[in-house]
Amino acid sequence: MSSEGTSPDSSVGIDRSRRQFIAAAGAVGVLGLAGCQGGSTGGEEAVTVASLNPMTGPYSSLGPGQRTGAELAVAEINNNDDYDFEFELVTGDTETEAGAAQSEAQRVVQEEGAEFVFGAISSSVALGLNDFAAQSEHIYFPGGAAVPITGSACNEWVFRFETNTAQIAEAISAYSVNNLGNNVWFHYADYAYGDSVYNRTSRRMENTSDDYTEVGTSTSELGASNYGSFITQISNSEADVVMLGMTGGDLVNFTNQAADQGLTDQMAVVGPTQTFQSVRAGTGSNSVGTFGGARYDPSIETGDNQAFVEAYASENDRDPGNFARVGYDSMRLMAKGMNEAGSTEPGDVRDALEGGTFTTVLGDITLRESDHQATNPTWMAELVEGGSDSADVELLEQVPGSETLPPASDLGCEM
Amino acid sequence: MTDSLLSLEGVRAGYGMTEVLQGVSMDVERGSVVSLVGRNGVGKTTTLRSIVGNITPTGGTITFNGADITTLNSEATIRRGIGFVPEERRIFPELTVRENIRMGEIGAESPDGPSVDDVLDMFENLAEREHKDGSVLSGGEQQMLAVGRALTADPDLLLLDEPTEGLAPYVVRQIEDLILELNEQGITVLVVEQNIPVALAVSEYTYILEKGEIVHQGTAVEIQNNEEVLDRHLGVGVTD
Amino acid sequence: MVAADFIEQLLNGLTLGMVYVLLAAGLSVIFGVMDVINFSHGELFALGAYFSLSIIAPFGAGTGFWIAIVVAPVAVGLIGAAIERTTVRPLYGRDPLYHILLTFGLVLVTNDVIRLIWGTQQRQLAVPEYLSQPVSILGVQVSVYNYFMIVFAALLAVVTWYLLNRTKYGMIIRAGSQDREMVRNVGIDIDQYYTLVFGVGAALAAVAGIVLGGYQNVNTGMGNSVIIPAFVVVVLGGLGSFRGAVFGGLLVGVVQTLMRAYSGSVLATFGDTTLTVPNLEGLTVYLLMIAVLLVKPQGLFGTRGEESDGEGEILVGGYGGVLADSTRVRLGGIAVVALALAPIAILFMGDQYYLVVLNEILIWAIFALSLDIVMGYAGLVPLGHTMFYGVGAYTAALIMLHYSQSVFIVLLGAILICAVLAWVVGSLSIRVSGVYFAMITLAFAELLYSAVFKFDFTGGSDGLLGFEALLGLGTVGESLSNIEFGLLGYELGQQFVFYYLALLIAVLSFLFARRMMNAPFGSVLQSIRESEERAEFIGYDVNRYKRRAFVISGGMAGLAGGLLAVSPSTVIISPDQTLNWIHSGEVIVIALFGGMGTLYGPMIGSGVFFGAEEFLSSYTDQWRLIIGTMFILFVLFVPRGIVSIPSLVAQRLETANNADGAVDMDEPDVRSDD
Repeated sequence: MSSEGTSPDSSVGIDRSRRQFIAAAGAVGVLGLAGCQGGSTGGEEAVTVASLNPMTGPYSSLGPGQRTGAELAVAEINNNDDYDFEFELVTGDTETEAGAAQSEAQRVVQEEGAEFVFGAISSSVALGLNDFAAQSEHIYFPGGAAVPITGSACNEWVFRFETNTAQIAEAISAYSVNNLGNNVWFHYADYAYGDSVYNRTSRRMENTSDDYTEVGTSTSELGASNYGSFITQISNSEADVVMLGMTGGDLVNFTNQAADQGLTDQMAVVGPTQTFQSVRAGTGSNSVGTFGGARYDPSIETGDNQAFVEAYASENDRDPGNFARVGYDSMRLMAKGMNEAGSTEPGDVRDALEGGTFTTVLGDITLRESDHQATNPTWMAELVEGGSDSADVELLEQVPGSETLPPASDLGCEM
Repeated sequence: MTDSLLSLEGVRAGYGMTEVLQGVSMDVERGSVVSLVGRNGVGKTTTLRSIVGNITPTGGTITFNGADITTLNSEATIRRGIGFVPEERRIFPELTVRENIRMGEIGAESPDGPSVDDVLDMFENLAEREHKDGSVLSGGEQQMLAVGRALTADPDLLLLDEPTEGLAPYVVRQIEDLILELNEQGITVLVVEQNIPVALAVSEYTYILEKGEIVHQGTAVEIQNNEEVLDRHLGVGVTD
Repeated sequence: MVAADFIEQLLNGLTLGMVYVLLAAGLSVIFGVMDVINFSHGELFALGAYFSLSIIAPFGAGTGFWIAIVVAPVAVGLIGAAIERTTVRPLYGRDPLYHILLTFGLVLVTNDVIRLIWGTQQRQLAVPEYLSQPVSILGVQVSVYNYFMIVFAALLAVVTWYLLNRTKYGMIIRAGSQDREMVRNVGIDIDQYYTLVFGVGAALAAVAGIVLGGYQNVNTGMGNSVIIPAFVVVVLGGLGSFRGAVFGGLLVGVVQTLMRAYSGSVLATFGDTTLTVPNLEGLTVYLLMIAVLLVKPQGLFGTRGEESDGEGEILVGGYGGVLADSTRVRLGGIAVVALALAPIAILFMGDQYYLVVLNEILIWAIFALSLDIVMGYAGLVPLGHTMFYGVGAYTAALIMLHYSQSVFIVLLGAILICAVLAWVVGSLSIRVSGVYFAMITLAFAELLYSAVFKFDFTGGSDGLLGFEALLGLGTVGESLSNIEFGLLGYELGQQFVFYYLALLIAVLSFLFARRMMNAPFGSVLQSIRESEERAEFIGYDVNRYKRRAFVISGGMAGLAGGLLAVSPSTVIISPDQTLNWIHSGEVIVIALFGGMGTLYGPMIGSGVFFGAEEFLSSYTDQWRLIIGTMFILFVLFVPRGIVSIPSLVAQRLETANNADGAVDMDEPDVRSDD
């Protein structure tokens, strides 16, 4: 069943979110003066920051997490005296579609005056926003994981705290081919992220083991809902491992249908984001016995993660997931960059962030000078029977941050 | 024209911006067979459609059995006792013969009218094909079916639009016989025809329509012998 | 192993096919009997799934699912019946275009209501445990749910068949889909049955939604994603034919699934050459649809002939206006001057974002203008016009990326390529008319939409990035994005320059179109719209004129798309933004809002549409609902669009003043019996 295209929301119309005011500023008229920093309480400078998240479309289940993480960070920053500025948060819906995201970005930058933008989860969307950031010269922290975002499409205005697929591949490829099986089938969604997963993991596996064989590949459209025919194909092949290059709604659908058809019992199903909270919530017991890369887990004790988990849980009644931590620390990194630079001008902040080392929930990371990618650690994990409706994550092996990334030139970035 | 069953006075009608009938007046005497003839495109079918109620006239009146039916739609007109057999018969191609007649019966809501079986009794060849789809019947059989369907309404007046079009000569003769027989049973018939010999053969009175107006009228005998009229209005020399 | 694999794929295909059958059955019969193209069928499908979510919640999957599968369709059926009585019924007798417009408005409304009540997140529809187990029979392994779907849907199809073929009501409905006017002529008021037909059709769609929702998931885009395949099935099977819906549904489901499974796989090897199945997934069904429409438009099982002429007309905005021509010209001039001064006003207000909105309005104004040429003048209703907008945008981006960045060359290229495309598509499409024409243009548009995902040079689903336009020729000229200059201490930028460029092009396009339409060419088009038969009798080569109109229209829409790409606000050209079918619907909406057949009407419509959207969306998230409702009201009560409002008001005033009733300025309300 073809599901190209998203819902009618990807029409000319764009979903609006009302402005959110974290700062205790009064109501602000819609006709704000562009680029002008409005007045705020306590004589602190107000900086407009934007969070653009997929609230509709194939990634609609992931967007809210991303946003709540950012919101928590903004609240903390505004309550923290270490920062002598205040963040005014503006939000928007990318609709998991590049054209809509572009319009939203325009709106927040031009109408609301944001000079610091965070968001997007779909790498295709993020790539568009990368370009936009370079053109309008504002700082952008993408939430997409495909390598090209800080690889071939890198530019000086983009900094990424999300773990990229090369890093994940590092964690899952070696483990899979050493412990789960040598005959691998790749199924991925035909867009930036999926391609990136396939490229990275197949390459790593090839380098790790001489017995590795690529049994076959298959692709589906982003947002497709019907995987029956692919699952049948895969189950009838010689593979022991199937590597999935998809996330969000796609991954949920695939996993559920695979479990229904018995594939998850038949071979090892590995998905780079299998461990994500939203994916686990959508798959319930169907994901037990599958494997995944973990970019983050609430249980880890790196950096100030536990403090984050506590604050997040008390605010949202549940543990944070990967996208929440990306939102949280992306915002914090912006703030830390401003402190480091002693200025809220995007150009100065950019210079301060580049090559800087900062404390995050993943420990101390460096935003590499060569490509602005954060040097995050990654884990391999298995999904096991959980107490509640969804499966639990069991971390198997960690790869430290210093070892997860090849040189920037290998990834295609030339800045 | 003493007992006029159907009467049109100055009827104007058309489609959208185009006015086809420019003031048509005619009378159909009860118990007679009247024909309306004319060349292609003059408005013969439009006249029937106006009577039945497919089109609402923009001017003039139509009276049936003493009542004004000008603005009635087809459902209402049928129920008042007018049966309509349109051009090209228009039987339902994917309904069986039986079902076709049944459609007429349902629409007619006439408890005294002939039932489906009665109609099938009337038309032997239809009875033989009772359960065949309408589309497999021959042209003549379809014509019979269309008439049979209309008869379920127990009509006082039967409107026939070019009933012999496209039919073989011997079938045409069957249709002629049918018309005369129905008339004998008491049904008034208004038949529209392009086929002049047929029209003159079955009808007692004839109206000639040209460019939306009646240009000549008279008994069939008169017209048959009036070569000038035949030539000018109908473009035919009638050979017997 | 291969055999088992094939059978499993076949079962997958049949599963999907049965869902299509349920969907298409309702859609096809609705069309066959009522002549209504029901775009909202997809949303009724979604509504069934969403209702089930709410029903299952308190009861749990075990019993809830079974309750839902009975109750939800009934609820949706009632809603469908209500929709028919209140909104569709008043439109009988009008050109089928108005049904398209109305049901499109219903899509907007229903989708927003769903979002409002159930939120935007994707949800899982809980299905009883015993149904979602894998089961292996003779080496063939699928989920029990597959078998369930096939059996359940088949059962429903059989019941529907029985109702259609063995009951009195069914017979009347079947007769209605074969010859509606004749049903009236035997004395049956078929309008009464429409409500039943619509309601049952809606209920069937709801069942399809529940069944598929359990298999996949429930999300706000699900209706949108099935409506086009459903139309494909209906066209293939034949409009109005239940048998056709069954056959078509299974055919499309199986073909789609097999194409997906076997695309790229090797069929056979002859020596050095390998025969592979080409990767036509997603394209095959549209190619099938086009083929059927060209060879046998009634579909494989359809029996309907070509529609009778004069079955309702497209109501244009221009007749009987209160304003004299000279007044109109003056008003037009004032409008242009106001538009020219607008940016300066915006400058003083300090919010440059409004310029971005205005630019969007101008681009779509040109797009809508292009549509008016074929729709308002020639009377052709294309459902795929966004293909020219999209191809124009892509062409422009590609030219900028690979050949030249000069604005003039880029736009010229976009126009030319789209004109050629329009010539090809137009020549094929005008072989059929009415609803078939609408469908075939839709098929071409969907074909292009799917194709764009497949090629590297179009960027696949990522789209195209990194292009930039230069205001100049060759190597001389400034990048549009870099033009900045100061005026009275304010900084003007890219948006300004582009705005004036777009405004100039819009005005020129309008003048060009007006010139063409005032010339004999335009009058011929109008006479074709009023009565094609008559135009042919008079001696015009109708096809030639239609094709020419289509080419002009396509080129102009391409210009609009090119402008989109050239605009400094545009960083990316993606498939959904430019080629999604919903844009074809939107541009028709805009044209109607403004008033078709006037050229300036649709342009005004663009301003109103986007202006309203911007205005509304800053106050509420449910702006789509409001616009959809407004739109439905327009279709029902102000079908001639905004430009007709002055004359409508004048009419009211006149009837109020004249006690003995004024002459109806509209042409007589000819109630042709269908």
